[in-house]
Amino acid sequence: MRAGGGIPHPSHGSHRVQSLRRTLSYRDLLIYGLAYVSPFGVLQSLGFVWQESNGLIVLAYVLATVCMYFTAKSYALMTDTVPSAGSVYGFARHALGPFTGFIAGWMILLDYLLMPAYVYVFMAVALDALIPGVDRGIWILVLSGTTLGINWFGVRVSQRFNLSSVALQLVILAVLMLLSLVAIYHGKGNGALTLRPLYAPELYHAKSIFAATSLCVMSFLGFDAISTLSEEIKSDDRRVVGRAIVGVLFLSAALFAVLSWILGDLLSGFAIKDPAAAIYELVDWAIGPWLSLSIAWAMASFVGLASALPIQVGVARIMYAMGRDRQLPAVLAKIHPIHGTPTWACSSRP
Amino acid sequence: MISIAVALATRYHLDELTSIINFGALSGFLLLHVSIIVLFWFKGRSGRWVVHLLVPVAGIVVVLAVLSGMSSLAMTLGLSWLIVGFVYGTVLTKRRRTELTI
Repeated sequence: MRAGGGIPHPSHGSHRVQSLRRTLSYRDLLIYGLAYVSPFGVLQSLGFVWQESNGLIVLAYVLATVCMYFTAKSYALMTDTVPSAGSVYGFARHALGPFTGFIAGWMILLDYLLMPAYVYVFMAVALDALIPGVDRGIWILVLSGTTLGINWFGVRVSQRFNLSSVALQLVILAVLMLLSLVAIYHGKGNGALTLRPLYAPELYHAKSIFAATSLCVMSFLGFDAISTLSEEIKSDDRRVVGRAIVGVLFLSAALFAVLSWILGDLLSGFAIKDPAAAIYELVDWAIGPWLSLSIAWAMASFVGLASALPIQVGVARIMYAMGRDRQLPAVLAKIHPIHGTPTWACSSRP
Repeated sequence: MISIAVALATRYHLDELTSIINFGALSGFLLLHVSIIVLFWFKGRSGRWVVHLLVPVAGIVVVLAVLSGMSSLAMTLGLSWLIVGFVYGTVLTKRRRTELTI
């Protein structure tokens, strides 16, 4: 009873363009999604979410998860039906026509094109904490130069890099959570794990929770990027992509909830100077400079690079799909030569 | 290049940059949900109202709620991008039509 039951695989829609190579498994998709979402993401927005939510940081993340669940579910449904490298662009084009499709693609390109800028800025914030006194602008130039160089020479970065980056981030987060708990039970913050980061009537303001939730939504962005790999799954079962999208959402939600709970109880009563650097200030004070330094170095090096790579994979797919339908100028389509192998920024694995 | 310029411009406004990115993603989500309702509920006359109507409608409500809480700067920049897209898209469609008639 599927409305779109008879839709051909979009990659066969055009004879001029070769299709993407199908090499990815469910596990690859999960890792790609987690690398994109970046488990460290929650640390960058910590200060802002804390301030906006008035301290109800866990509530904000829980609500954001619920919000994103509907979207993840819809993505899953659409990738089952219309697997398209263009993601929302492909879905909207199929359901609503070429013009709306173009607008959808255009709007997600805003997201995907600015994402690297966001990565540069947060890496610069980390370096700022490491080596104070240098303007963040200088760091951004250095960082973007480095990434450009890496992309130029090391485009065939393997899925292994994603995997090790995710693993390393999880290890650091585990250490952070453990030591935060120790600090809390030594009397810092709330002095114990409490329900205050989840709900406290005197802290609750609908408006501020709204604002905080919309910030938290940002931390989840990336699970949707899995849909851009729809044309590259190994298995013939298209539902793999949808399952991976929902899976990444739940995995990151669980992590964010636990992490923000612990950090929320630790943050209570702590005065944040610069919300962008809140995590460094907090860890410096509660645990020790060595850990905030490690986090900053991690953030400034592999975390940024690790999230920059999957972003390029995603944006290349959308441009590929839009270029395939001649919805973007040929110049843009040329940036990523469409060979049998996935495009230049892709996670083509050894 | 765009990324570097934007990064430089927003180096002390991480939260604003976040909102603009959010705007792009959320409008994509919006169209995703609309696509589902149109494709399955209306065109497909599906009876599965939970997945094909309730979930996307809930998704739309959520997206609109998050959008409404956005800073006016992010909103303005996001809408400008949308308008540029509209103009470009219209030109694109027109050109395609003339190409077809030729």
